[in-house]
Amino acid sequence: MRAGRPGLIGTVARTAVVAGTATATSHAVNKRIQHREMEKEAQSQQMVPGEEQIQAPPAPVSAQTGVTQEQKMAQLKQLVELKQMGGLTEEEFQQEKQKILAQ
Amino acid sequence: MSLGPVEYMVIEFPGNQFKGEIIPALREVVDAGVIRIIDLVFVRKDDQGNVSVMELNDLQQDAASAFAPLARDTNTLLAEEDIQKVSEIVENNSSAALLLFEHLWAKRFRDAVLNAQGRVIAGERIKKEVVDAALAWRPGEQGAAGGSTAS
Repeated sequence: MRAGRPGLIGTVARTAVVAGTATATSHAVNKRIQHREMEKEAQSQQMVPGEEQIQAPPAPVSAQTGVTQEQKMAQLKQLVELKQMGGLTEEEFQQEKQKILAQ
Repeated sequence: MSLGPVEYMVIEFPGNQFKGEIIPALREVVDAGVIRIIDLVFVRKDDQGNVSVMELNDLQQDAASAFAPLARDTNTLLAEEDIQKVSEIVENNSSAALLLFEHLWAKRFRDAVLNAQGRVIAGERIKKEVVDAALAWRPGEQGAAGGSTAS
């Protein structure tokens, strides 16, 4: 019997589409990895601040195509962290995982 | 009986089909005891905005048998008013599954915390936008946020 039961749900609002979450998240993760690489490089070359922006992105990370095994691992790690924080539902997590592995 | 944290989720599909593609992934976590589906209702809205509400056994045979393994241990908990609220956000000419589920993993975790005399004193699901922003943030990109030395 559903009629007359006390309700469980408060206000219902549509959320951003889940598919959006997936791309946005992996994109963000990519960006961050890229940034870390840049930082490393910058440190090793002892660059002057400001030059960092002028410099082209370092060679080992090609954001569009070749995703290295290392990057995949890093992405998976991020994903697990995100899930543990409660930022992803199990379903989103699985979807993302498949995407990362399929790259 | 105490439950783990309970959450609902509404999954919408365009058209008048409930897509079975989501089931294997969902079944994985159900079978692994990560979540338990407590209650499950289907809502369909035609192009005029007319709503029809369906229980599992009101679905067409193939859809019903696809969803059935997910719902081995269900109760009727969702109220009419819940379904009505959800129906309001479903787009015309769409079908939606309303899932009420229990986080079983969190229940085990909670028991472990209690056994260790620990207490959960805060916690919240962080909004996707906030997490994305945190992941995308780069030092020095948008003014001085935080106290990092932007060398």
